[in-house]
Amino acid sequence: MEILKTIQLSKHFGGLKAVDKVDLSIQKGEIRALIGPNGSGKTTILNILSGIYQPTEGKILFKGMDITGKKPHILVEYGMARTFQNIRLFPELTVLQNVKVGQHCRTKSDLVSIIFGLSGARKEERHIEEKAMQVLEFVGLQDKRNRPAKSLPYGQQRLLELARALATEPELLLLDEPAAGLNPHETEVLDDLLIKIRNQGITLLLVEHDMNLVMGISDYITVLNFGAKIAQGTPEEIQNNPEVIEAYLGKEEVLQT
Amino acid sequence: MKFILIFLILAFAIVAPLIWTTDYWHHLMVLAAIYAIVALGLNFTLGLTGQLSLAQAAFWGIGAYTSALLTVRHELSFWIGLPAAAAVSALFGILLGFPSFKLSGHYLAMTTIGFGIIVRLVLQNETDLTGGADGIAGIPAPTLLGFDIDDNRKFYYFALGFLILLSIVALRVQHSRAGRAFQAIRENEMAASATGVNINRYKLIAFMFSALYAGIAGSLYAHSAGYISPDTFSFDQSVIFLVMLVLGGSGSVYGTLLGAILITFLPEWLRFLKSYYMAVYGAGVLLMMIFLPTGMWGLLEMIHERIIGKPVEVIPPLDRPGEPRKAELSVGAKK
Amino acid sequence: MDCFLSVVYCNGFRQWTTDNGQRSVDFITFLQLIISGLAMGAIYALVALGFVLIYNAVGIVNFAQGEFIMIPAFFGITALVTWYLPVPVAYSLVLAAMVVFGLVFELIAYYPLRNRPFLPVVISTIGASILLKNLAQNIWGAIPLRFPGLFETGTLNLGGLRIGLQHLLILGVTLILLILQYLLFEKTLLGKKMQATAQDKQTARLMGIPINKMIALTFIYSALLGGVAALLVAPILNVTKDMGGPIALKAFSSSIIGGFGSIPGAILGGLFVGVIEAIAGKYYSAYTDGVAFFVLIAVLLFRPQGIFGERIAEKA
Repeated sequence: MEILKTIQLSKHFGGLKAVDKVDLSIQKGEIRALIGPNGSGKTTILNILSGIYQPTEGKILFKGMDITGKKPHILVEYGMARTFQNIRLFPELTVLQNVKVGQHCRTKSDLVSIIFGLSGARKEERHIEEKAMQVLEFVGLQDKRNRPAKSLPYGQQRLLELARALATEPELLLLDEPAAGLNPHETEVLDDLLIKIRNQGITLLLVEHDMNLVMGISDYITVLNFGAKIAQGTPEEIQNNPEVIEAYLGKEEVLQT
Repeated sequence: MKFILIFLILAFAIVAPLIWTTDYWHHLMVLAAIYAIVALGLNFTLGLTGQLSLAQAAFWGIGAYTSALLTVRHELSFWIGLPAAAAVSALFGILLGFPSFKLSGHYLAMTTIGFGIIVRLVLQNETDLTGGADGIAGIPAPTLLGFDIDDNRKFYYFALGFLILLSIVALRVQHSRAGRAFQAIRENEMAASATGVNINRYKLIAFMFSALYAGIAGSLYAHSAGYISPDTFSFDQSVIFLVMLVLGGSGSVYGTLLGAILITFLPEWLRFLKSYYMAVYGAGVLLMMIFLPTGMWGLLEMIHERIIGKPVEVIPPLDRPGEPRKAELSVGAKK
Repeated sequence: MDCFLSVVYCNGFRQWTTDNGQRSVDFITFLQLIISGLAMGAIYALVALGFVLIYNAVGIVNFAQGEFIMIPAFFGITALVTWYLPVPVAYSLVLAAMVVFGLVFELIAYYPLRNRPFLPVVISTIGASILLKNLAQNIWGAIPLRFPGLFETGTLNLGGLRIGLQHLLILGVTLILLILQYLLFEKTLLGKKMQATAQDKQTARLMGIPINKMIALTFIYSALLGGVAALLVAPILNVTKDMGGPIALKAFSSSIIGGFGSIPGAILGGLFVGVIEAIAGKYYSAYTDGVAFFVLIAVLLFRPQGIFGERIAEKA
């Protein structure tokens, strides 16, 4: 079943075609990687999909619904969550509070029941707490729950951002360079985690430069260059695709993996 | 520990009028309680949501005038004037929330300053409606269950009741999903939106709360003073509310209360300086910002941590691959 | 809810219709309004420039900018009235004092907080403002003082068109000052260093520009602008501790109306607000002090980058 589909998706910044008529089709439950040289439009696509940018042209279908031009928080409610390339946490809030914000769209206590402390609101708050703790344990940050997010080391900040996205109970998770800045050990942990997330039935779309990670965990890879799709296939097919090799010319580590 | 502290503070608040027994001190205590309510309101916009609003005195004034006009001109009860004041002020709050969709930082601050100045000009010039520069006199004292709340000591307990109630409301909201949504907006708007927070909606709610609190405090002020005039609700007063919040500890209910009390009584404690006391007060604000960046409350928390000692946390390294994880993810896809 | 607004309009309209009988709005009256508006606008422009230069340099709106006018106005009174100094000496002394004032202000209210987020710095400028106002009241008293002007009530009569000499002086001096400032920023190395510091502190530091010194110079220059504005405007206002606040707020509005962060925007915005205020004030005199803010809110809602601005720069 197709969870996400884009039709002729384009984004122009003035004269620059950052994304040019890209058709994507992502199946439910797969891990899809979006790769390409710097400036090939990967992050722009993620920003369009998550509602931060409006596409210049084209359509986005999520679970068969047209979601083109919807605001980010609506998309989160529909079941699409994301992380950012340059981590965007709520730095002054604690680790636990960060994750709790993720539960916002899955809860519905109104101000009246909050102010009067009605049992529904209290129950929901306990539920949020449990859920958030589950997610923190899943990424292994449960012991840090009362620390301010800004005090975590870099690698754990990435995990926290992932946890916050998971707390929104997504069906599709967009990850913008999740391994950027991680050491090899941390990357391994992430690798492990991403597969576990997929095993929970969550579809993953990741933009990534770490080719070891990409080739190791992706089911399918889409390659972009100058905003356009130039290839698509299994990791094996992509590694042997002459056009891709040309696009990455000089990037030998791609060929070696 | 925390409950003992709260109990002690409450006990102190209750016996305070018996320690300082002059009417003037009771009057100051009434003011402190009212200012604290206004500052608690400002904590919603600036402290929690990070929206710099300098129209708090205007909302306070709108509340005071609404309640005063309804009770003086239309001879309605205080118990109608108060909710009406809260409602009218909250409506203006929502109105002023709209510019925050597009504007932030200094631009938003300037818009709220402009709003405050226009409100004050309307109060001053629309004589038919507001009594103009002469203000409104003869605002009746409230009655509660047949008792007239007609002196400062009684009014202090009356206002303290409101302050306690509104502090509880503020604490509940802060520790709810709404409070977290506010703080997420303050910390990072884009991330808040991408985590499912409807930022425009929560900005409006924050502005509504801030005006609602100011409106209630305005009504209390009008009925405790018995007389109001436009001069009270000036931009300078908005600035004082801002100083209360930031000096006390922006973002914290307890810090806000502390700031309001401190700023209300500070000029009194500086009286011995005679005519220089306001200048010293200004210098004090400046120095506190230099030396106490997190406000008084931040300082108290720091002292508390020094004495009790920080909880020693065992920080385990990231899980090794292959080691069993403690829990499986059960947050999976919704249906 | 809109009862407040409709009352504003009704009242204004009443004034328009009743007062208008004896007041023919002929061309000459209109010209006079424009000129006095431009003169007041020039003052707003100078103060707005002071705001913008500091904002560009350190990202902070200085809430004590109004005191940058109030203080030199009192200095002037001391020099001219108490010490009875001749005008050139007195004026030079005031400006020299403002150099010191700007530096001291920077060292106390900004420098210790230079690495803090904007809110504590804003509060510290508010603290400085309270301190300065009350010091002034202690030194010069609470009674409004009169600042002796150069021309007293002199006017120039050009075939029925009467222009206040002080207004002409304001316009002339502002024009000369703006030309000098242009030369300073565009033609001298010092000016270029100040601009570079405002645009990109990191790069400026890498280029070996002493940015802390440049920031201090910016505060000094901003105080000097306030000093000039004060010497020009004080003769047509009452000098009190609270004289600076309204001017500063209108100047701040002007800079946003013109396009915040832009030097031409601050100048044009100031002149624009001055003229609109003069014209509107003629008919809605009760709301003269609100005009700048009505315009501001309208501009922010419909053209947040300002009338003359190209883009909105701030996303705090």
